Amino acid sequence: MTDIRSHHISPGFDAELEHLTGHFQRLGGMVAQQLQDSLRALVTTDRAQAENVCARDQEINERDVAIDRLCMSILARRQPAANDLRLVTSVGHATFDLERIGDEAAKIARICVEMFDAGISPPVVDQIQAAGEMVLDMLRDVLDAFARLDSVAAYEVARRDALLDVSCEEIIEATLQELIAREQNLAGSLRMLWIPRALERIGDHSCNLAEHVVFVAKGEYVRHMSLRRMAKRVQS
Amino acid sequence: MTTVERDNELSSTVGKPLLDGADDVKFSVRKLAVHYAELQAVHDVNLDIGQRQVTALIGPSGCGKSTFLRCLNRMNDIIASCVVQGEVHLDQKDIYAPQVDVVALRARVGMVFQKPNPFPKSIYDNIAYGPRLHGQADSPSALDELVETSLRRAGLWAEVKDLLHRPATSLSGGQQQRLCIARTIAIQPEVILMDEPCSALDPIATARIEALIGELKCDYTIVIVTHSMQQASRVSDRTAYFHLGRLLEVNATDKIFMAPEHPGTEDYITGRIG
Repeated sequence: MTDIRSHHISPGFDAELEHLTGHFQRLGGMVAQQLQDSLRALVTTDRAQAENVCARDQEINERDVAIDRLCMSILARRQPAANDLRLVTSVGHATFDLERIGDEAAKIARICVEMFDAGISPPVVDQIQAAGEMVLDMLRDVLDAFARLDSVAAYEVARRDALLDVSCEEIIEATLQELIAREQNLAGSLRMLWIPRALERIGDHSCNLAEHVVFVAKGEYVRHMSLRRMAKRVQS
Repeated sequence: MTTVERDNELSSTVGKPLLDGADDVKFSVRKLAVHYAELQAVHDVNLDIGQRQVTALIGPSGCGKSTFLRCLNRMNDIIASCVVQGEVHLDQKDIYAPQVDVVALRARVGMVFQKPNPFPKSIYDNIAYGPRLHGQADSPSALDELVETSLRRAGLWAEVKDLLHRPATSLSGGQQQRLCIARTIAIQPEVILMDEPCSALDPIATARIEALIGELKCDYTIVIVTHSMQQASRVSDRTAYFHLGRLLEVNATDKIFMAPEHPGTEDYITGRIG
């Protein structure tokens, strides 16, 4: 496989691809920061931080559109092929996943604001924090795999998703138990259940990102595949 | 493992240079080597060309793709220093066998060149020339019909039907190239070889020729040499990549342009080498 970072005859094309991947990596960094801040706001009951996360979501949306425009421009003007084509189309798809992760982080922050305003203390915070760190590691690792086009590292991220799903189910169960035990403001507290669901969705989007890495690096479609089949493609 | 699978594996070419099913193979080329005096232009090429398919030959200048193309209707015979070794079979018959009538071969395997080259005759006579030479029309009305059919198939009839006795050279470049395609079709070939047929044409004339290629492949086997990667990706079913006289990769065109197997192919089509 040709090193995708090796130079084209046209330096302008190199510059455009670098510009695109740079934007993508910066968006990835922003989204990871949003997730980290929303989880910290939850753990520290920091309303201002949660509001900041909600406010910054608009910037993520704007960057999503900007990257989409860059992809369209490169497709229209350069007609990329092979690994360049896979890179540009995958950055487009992966940006959609990052934007959705940003939405989930903002959702967590919004729930925090609502809970804090209603005077409800979030239950099972330790468990949520542990699952949050798990998903944050998945996101950071898959962004790193994207930067290095490392399909093995991407596969390892996808493999961790099953463990995250189990943790999220446990959090939902524990949250329900604790809310029932509290016997107060049950309707308001039920919003808490969206947090483990959001973490689970972020894990799913991280898996999508891992699949895009394999496609760019290996030229293999691994979407909707079992982990076993994905492993075979990664090792081929 | 089938014979074809084994041969594919033994070939140094990546991908699928050989096809399954002899009925689908129009040309079968084995161990083809071409020398111009001391210079070897083509090395040990094994390739099947599918019937009623468009096969694109791509690669940098001097890679041997045009030399390979010209071997398919023995156009290299006219170059004194050119020596062709190996086997080229058309419908399982060796076209380099001593008893082969080269004129009849070129009637079966027509060629369209880089620059339109109409004869200095009328539009009508350009088309009628080949059928007259090969005795393919037995009456003036049959010839008229053949001229009209050929021009219709080349998508030129509507533009020239009232100008048939004007000089062919009065047509635009794109029209002249379609006239040359009509002239090739008129002698009812089985294969059409195209050597960069659009390189002298503007984008609109190019689009017309590409649309025509898409229509013609229903009836003809087409092999096209092109420097335009976008053109190869638009018009062909299979693509063969040549480099320094060697056939590095042959695959379905989608595969070549989305995920080629050979790093050399990838470098070329992504513009990392010239």
